[in-house]
Amino acid sequence: MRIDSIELHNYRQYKNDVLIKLNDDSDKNFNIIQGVNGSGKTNLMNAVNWCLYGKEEHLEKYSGERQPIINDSIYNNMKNEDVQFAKVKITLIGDNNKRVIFERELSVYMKNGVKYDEKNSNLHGFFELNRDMVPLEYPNIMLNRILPYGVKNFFFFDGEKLDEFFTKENTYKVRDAIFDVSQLSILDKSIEHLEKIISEFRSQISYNVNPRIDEIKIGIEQVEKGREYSKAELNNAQKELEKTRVDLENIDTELRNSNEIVIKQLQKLRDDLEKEIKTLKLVQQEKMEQIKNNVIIFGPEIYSLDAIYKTLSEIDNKIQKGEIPPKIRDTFIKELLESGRCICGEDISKDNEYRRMISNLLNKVVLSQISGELTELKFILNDIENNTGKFIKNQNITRQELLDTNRRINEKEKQLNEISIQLKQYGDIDVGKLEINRNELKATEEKLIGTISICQEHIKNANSRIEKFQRELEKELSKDKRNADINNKLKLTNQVIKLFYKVHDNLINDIRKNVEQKTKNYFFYIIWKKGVYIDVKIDEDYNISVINIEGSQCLGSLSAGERQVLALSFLAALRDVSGFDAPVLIDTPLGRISKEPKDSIAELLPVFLKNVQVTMLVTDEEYTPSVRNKLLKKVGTEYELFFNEESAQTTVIPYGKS
Amino acid sequence: MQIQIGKKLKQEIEKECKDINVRELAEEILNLEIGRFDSKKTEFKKDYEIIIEKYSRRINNEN
Repeated sequence: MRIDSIELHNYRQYKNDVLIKLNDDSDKNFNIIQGVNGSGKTNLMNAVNWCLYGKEEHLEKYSGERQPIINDSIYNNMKNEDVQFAKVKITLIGDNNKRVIFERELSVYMKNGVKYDEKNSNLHGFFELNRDMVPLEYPNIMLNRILPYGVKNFFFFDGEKLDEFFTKENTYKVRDAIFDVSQLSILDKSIEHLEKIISEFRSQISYNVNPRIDEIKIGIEQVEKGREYSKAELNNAQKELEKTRVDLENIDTELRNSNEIVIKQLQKLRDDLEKEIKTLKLVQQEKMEQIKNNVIIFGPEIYSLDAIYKTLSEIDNKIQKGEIPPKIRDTFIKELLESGRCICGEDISKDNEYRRMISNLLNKVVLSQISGELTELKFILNDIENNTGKFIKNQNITRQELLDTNRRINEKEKQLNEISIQLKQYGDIDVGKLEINRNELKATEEKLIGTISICQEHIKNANSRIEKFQRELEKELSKDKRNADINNKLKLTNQVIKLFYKVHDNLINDIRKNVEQKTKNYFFYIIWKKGVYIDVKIDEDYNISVINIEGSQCLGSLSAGERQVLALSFLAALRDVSGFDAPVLIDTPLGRISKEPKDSIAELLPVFLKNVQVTMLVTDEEYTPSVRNKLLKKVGTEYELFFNEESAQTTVIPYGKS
Repeated sequence: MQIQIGKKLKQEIEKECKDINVRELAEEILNLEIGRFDSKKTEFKKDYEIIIEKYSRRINNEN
């Protein structure tokens, strides 16, 4: 899906009618709209967002009061009985070359000197059918098919704000992005509603049919109440945790920006230590996991080691005694006895001294049947013994590494503690107070993390108890025809709930890992410093980390350009995983990047953003001759925005025609 | 053009559920939820009950 055109009518500084026609040729998939700061680039982004989603999300750059959507000059010069409106119309073209149009307008009219602003605007949509444009009854549903609101932030974004994904207090932004892209919130909402529907169905069950049914119903209701309580507690704890983390980050920022060099240094040291502890904790977890998995794999061999040693020693004894392999095989003796004649020629067909001697030999070679297996077993057991020995050696090394990691974590935590004491005892009362407050927040954070895992465990247990009750209820209900209908609905709804829970669990890890892998691939593809970084990780708490060749986490020390590349890689990964085929619109994509990396990014952007229509809103400082040169082969249209201060109006002209 | 529910979500539902009725009901509920969210509707019970009723009848008829 590509944008064919954006039409604006009296939208903010876009006075009267303005048409921006974009190129949708897949070979020249880049469209450039260049303008100096304040020329209207961000408002163009706002126009797209407002038209499609009814929201202008990039207004914070303005100081003072929010400007009206309708052009100021038009608005201010209205006369009695005048009706004016602002409108944005976006024409999209699908792969089948069919058009879909979305438009939104907002009007104002003036009567007796008073302006009456329309409060709400509605989205209107049209789709192409046999060359006619037919109105869409539910344009929002069509828009959701193309690009749902939750996912659009990975397609329309402000390049200068990309960095926000990776700040400590914004971990939830990464989590929310992953949740949005996998539509987990929709899944959660559906589960919540289905659970309510189930209780509704249960209340429709005929009473006094079977006393056990009433007992089960009461049982389920009680567990459900407990579950609701845990869900509410979990929700509160999660919100509280988010808030606590923001408060903690605010204190750290205050200390980081302190005028006192000592405070600054101590906070810097603490930041570094916390990062190191985080990396060490990942190593700790990895080692613990390794030890646990090894024990699971080699457990049976380890528990059987005594028996293995004993068996090997028995086999060795028999070998030493010459019992295995036997000198004569039992089958040979049996054949002799059957034939009735010994190899020396003596008759052994009847019971005589020779026959008895040969029969006795048979008792002595009892092991001959299993001697082959025993020899083979000896090899297998020796092999197991060797492997187990190697495993024990490796396990001891891993254990030692784990102990070392634990020791390093303890040392660093001790250092953190010392820093905290120094800050508390520092002469400045405010710093002392901040530090006491920080410690309290840290304790709260730990407590909340505990509460969250307890609540999650309660909910899990409640779900499994409810599931058990439900099965019993279905069984009891099936005994009575009067409840057959309601039982079918209950069964069906329960199957869907179970499916949603399963899909939820699969998606949550799958998507995180998928986004992690794709982010890593993109990052390594674009980053110009080859061989410096070895890994990009998104942990279970949705913290993104970049690991350098020394194995250290180095997100904090990435340059602005490298962070921008990481953010672009993350967004590209989210877009891939979301599977939505929508155009990309980026405001100030290269704003934070210095010259050299800017050229490198410009060179790689077309490779990185292929098969997707990209519209970049750039300043002249971003769209330098060198950047333009790197991109030109892929650029379909180029425009310049001019803001006339006198008329407070932006005009759009082809690039270079000014 | 993208189906209403995300590709990955749809794939997971298909992977985890072989029963076509349960699968279609699940997808219809998710699409309903997306539409509901979109129109900011708060009432959901009636819509849910109608869809579940539809599939329950369908299963009954098949049996």
